[in-house]
Parts: sequence; structure tokens; C-alpha cells
Amino acid sequence: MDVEVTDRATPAEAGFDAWVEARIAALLRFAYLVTGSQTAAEDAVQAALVSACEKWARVSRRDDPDAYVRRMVVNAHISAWRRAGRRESPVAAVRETSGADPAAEVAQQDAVWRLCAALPPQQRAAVVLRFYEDLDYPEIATVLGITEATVRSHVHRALTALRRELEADDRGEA
Amino acid sequence: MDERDVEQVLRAGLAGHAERADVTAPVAARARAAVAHRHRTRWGVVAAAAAVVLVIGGAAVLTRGGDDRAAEPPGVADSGTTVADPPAGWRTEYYGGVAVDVPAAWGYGGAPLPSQPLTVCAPGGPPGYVGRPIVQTDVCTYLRSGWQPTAPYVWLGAALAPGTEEWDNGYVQETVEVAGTTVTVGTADAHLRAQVLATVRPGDLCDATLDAVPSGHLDLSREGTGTPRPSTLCAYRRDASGELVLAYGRRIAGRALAESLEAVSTAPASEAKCDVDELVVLTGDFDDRYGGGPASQHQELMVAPDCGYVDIGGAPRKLTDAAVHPWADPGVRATLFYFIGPQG
Repeated sequence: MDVEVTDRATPAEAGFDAWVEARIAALLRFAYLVTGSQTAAEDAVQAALVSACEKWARVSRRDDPDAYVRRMVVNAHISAWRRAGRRESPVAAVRETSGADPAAEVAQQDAVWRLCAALPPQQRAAVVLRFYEDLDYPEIATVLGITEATVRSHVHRALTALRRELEADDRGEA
Repeated sequence: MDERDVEQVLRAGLAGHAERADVTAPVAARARAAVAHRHRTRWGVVAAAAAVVLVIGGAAVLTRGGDDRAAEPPGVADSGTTVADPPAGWRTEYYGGVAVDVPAAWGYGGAPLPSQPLTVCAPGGPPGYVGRPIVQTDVCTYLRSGWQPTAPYVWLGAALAPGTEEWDNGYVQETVEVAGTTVTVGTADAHLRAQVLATVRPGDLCDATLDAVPSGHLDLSREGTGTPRPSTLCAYRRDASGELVLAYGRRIAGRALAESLEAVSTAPASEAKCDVDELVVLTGDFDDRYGGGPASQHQELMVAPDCGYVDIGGAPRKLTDAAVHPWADPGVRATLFYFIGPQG
């Protein structure tokens, strides 16, 4: 692990380090799904951790640190997406995987990734929070700073789009 | 395929892709290093503040002996808590918690970015420029490998530690930190550098940060609005932590607010639902011409350019060019992405 708790760390710093050590892998995976890029994920998580560390006393006391960092990761991605002129989000190349039914599994994962690439960042974050992080709608609304109704709408439209994609794949139209 | 099946495919697909993230990247170590760097910067604040006091004293002596009014340093804010007009030929720039006066003829440019302290995107040119850590173009300059400044500059909010750097061409760059915001002055003219540094003070025109996106507010009477008084423009941008930080501010003519208000009042309603990443708050008072006293009507417009609407209280209105034109000066246009446009 790349985080060390040194003898000189304050109790707050030690608490931050311990939290990071426990959560860094999950945060990077979350950011990777939200941004679609390893580089963007690392940048977003790093910026979020810097801010969380500097405000750790408040973040750890008043907020859920995971929610705080997730929200900043999403905000950073949305801002970058707007600055880039709302271009399509980057998506890492789909690699071959092995499994019990490799062809079907690859096709379905490919469809999921294509869907994610096509979603605006906030909707994509809502989908990741719902179906990867298993948060409920009120929790997602809190993380994203939007209403629960908007979250439900985001998720419903994403599911509808994925269903269409999968059915098209089944018909061999993809 | 029912909804439960689709959800299952989504869960499996996301889980599969998440496993492809490289979770061994030393992100936490890099974050720790960045925090340590900022801490070192803050330890330098006390020394920098002392240096500013010395510079202020020195500049005051120079001013008394000078006879060129256009070149006189702006008046030093005595308490740092009142908005004072800069002297003729100078203007005041605001960023985060800080204000500084610069020659009025200077333009706008970039400053080192928080994530890349050795990179400036769109450095300005002669006769000088005020730079903010904002990407104005995807053509960026790396501040090493032989780079030397060619025009005087003031960088606001650059991720630099307080201190001094010198270049072979005689330029000297000095960074101080006041009210949590760095101000960096670079010029080969030591007198000019002292003049500008002497004006660095906590900004008091606008709030340095906003906790939330504000709402607009209009005081209206049946008789309409009276004569507008001088007004204020405060532009904010959301930083990486999600906080809305002051990016630009200035006093504007009351007429500009009145013209913008008139354009907004005739604009169609907006249905926009959008996360606001940058906003402009226009605030001013109009004389209440039938109020029979010193009473005034307070007007506040919250403009969300990236979301395309204006909040004047009640239903938002669509943002139109006519509503923007009265106050969109070069500083605003160099600060907000709505005007800068997409890069790449």
C-alpha cells in the first residue's frame, strides 16, 4: 500500500490514512466506471483525496467520507466533460474475458460499456452508484446533489436504453 | 427480458469493468504529497505577510517622493475591509479571498494550474496581464525548459509557494499569500512589482466562496424601477472540491444591471435542469422614486451561463445575449467557460 502512517502523523492524519488505505481501491474502481478512463479516474480521486484530507476533521465528523469523495469525483468529471464541449466520454477498450459462456458474457459487458459511454456524466454516475455501489435512491440523490425523482428518471432511462441494446444484440442488429 | 434481468446484466457488466481499473496506482501517495506541498506553502504565509508589510512601507515612501501621478501606486487599503476605488490608470482584480490593483491597460491570461503548477494555458502578452488558473486554450506553456516571461504579470490563485524566482532576462517573480489566496507578481521593474504587491489585500467586494447556488431577487413596485446606483458583479466557478470560488469581480455601472434586468424580464421562461458549475451574481440598488425617502429597491440576478438561465426569484428565465451583453467585459470573457468555449 502506498500510504504510510508515520510517527509524526496527527490523529486526524492517521484517521485519514487508515480510511484511504481501506477505501482507495473501491474509489478508483468507482471513478474508473464514472469517467471511463484510468487517467481521469486517478486525477479525479487524487483531487478528491487532497480536498478530503485538508478538511478531514469536518468530513469525518459531519459527512460520510465515501459520499464526500464520490461526489467530488462526479463533480470533477462533469466539469471536465463540460469543458471538453460535451464530447463523448472516453471508454477503455473492451478486452477479452474468460468465463463460463465467454461469448455471451463479452457481448453483454460490451453492451453495458457502450451504454455507459453514451450516457451524460451525471446519469452515468447515477447508474454506477445504483448498480455498482448498490446505493438506494435517496443516497444517490445526496451524493449527486439532485432530487430523488431525477435519480429515478436517470436510472429508468438507462435501463430502458440497455434493454433496447440487449434486444438488438439478440436480434443480431448490433 | 424483464427489468430484473436487465439490472442483473448491468450489475455484472459494471462489476466486470470495475475489475479492469488499476487500483495499484499511487494515487493516495500523490494526494499526500500535494497536501504536504500546500502545508509548506501555508507555513510560508507568515513570512510572506511580513514581507508584504515591508513592501507596503517602502512603496509609501516612494509614493510621497514621486511626481508622476499616472505611475503612482494605488492607495494602500488601511484596514483591508472597505472597497476603495483604485487611482486613475489602475483597476482592481479579485480572485478567491484576495484583491490586488494592476495597471488598467493590462489584459487577461492564464496562471499555473492547481493540478499542474508548472503549466500555464494562454499566458498573456504586453503591456502586461492578469492570469488566473483557468484553461483558456489547449495550447499550454511549460514554465521550465528555457521559458522566460516577456510581459509583466500578476497571477491570482496560482499553486505556487510564497517566495521569489529570478530569470536570466531580469524578470523577478514574487509570490505572497493573503486570505488563503496566492498573488504572484512577475516583472523586471522592481518599482512596479513593489507597487502592485503593496496593494495586495483581502478582497471585500464579493464573498470569497459560496456555500450554495444563490437565488435571484427583485424588488419591484407598480411605478417601476428608479435610477440605478453603482452595482456589483461577482463571478464564481466550482473548483475540484465542489466549492464555488470567486473567480472574478468588479463594480459595474448601475445602467448595466438595469439593461440586463430589462432583457431578462422579457426573456421566455426556462425549463433548464442543470448542475451549476459557474455563475455570475449581479447585485445593485435602484432609487425608489416614489418611496419618499432614501429607500431603495434591491435587485439581484443569478446568471448560470453554463445552464442557460437567469434566476430573478420565481421562475427562471432563459439566458439571452441581450441579458449578457451589458456586463460581459474582457475579464468575464477570460474567466467563464461559457465565453471561453470548449477546447480540444
